[in-house]
Amino acid sequence: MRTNTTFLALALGVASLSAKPTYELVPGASQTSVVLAGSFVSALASLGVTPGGLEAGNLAVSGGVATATFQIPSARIDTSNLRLQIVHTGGLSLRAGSTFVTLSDFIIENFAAGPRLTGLVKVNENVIGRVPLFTLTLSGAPEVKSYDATADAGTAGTISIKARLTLTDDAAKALNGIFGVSAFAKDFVIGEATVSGTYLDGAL
Amino acid sequence: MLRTSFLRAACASVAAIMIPHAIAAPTLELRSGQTVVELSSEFLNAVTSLGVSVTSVSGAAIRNRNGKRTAVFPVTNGSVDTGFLRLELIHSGGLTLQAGDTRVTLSQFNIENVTGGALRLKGIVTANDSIVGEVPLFDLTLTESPSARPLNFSRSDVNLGGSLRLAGVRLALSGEAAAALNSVFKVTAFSRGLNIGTANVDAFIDERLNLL
Repeated sequence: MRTNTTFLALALGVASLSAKPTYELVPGASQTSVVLAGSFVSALASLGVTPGGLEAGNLAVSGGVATATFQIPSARIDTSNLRLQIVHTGGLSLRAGSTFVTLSDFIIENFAAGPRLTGLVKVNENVIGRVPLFTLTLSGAPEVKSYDATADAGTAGTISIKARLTLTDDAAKALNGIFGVSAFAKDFVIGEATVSGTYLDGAL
Repeated sequence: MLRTSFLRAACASVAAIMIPHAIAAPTLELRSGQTVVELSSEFLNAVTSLGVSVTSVSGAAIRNRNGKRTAVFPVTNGSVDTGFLRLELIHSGGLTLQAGDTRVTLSQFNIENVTGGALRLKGIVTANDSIVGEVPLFDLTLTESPSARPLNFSRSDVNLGGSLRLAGVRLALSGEAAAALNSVFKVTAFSRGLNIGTANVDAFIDERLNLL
């Protein structure tokens, strides 16, 4: 713990030098949508795995494109230091025969490593644990837009983050083990995610 | 009544969770609710003597009730596996500790034991508007058996199947949090194990999710 404590103390000392705000997203006005890759959907179908949403709106298909959407009840995004945590509700289910897997309560964060999405994994209603599911490759820095172009960005506006999701090694091994297959592999493209957040009072 | 190794580890005197048959799904999906922390006099005296003010942020609240100071945090989502007693309870809101120009916010509390280790509360630490990271803030000790009970009403927006209650959860400052607070406020008063208070968690079970 000495290393963690030292890092924390140093980080706290440096933090006071920053002038840019940390943004907090507004519940009910912030969500993340993921356009699922056709190759991922096809892979599930070929394995006899049926995806589903845990809450209304979690999974929709339109024009042959599957989109997963999850509400954000709380999130903090530090755009100056590029540290963030974005909590989601809902989740996805994967069913094959009598095996029912849910991936839920997604959290996007980059504290322990690079940007990643972790989720609570349950198999047949038993909690396995919180597992790093997807690696995020950001397409760029978070895009911040104030509602009022003449006002300080810290007042109110939107934040958009776009990223590609790929399967982690942990998740690939877990899914292969659960469904008794070998089709899931690290870096398998899951889809393209867009975090669409609304913020108020950026200086918290 | 389900006996678990989790509770034996968490508290030797507690070894069961009370789940009525009406809501006896192995894993309870939680949506909404609140955690109320009665802040201890040790903690309040410590921050007062250091000239540190404590305020709430983002949906949390601090109240004075019956001469006691309590902090209330909304529960946004969570899950409790009643078979193996693995749980995660995610909150919104938080607390800000401020002394002079130094402001530290502890927010997005997560009570969990699903990432390995004992039951604890983690939170995001933000110092003067910059996120430091996610830090284990408090070590938790259960003093009573968690219990679930059905509700005799429902709401149109959420299918409420019952509620989960964790009462008498003791919060003690973690070593990481003590070191961080001492560093940022340039003091030595915060120590591991400092009694922060006692929490009561009441979270609503979303029956719709439990029927999947």
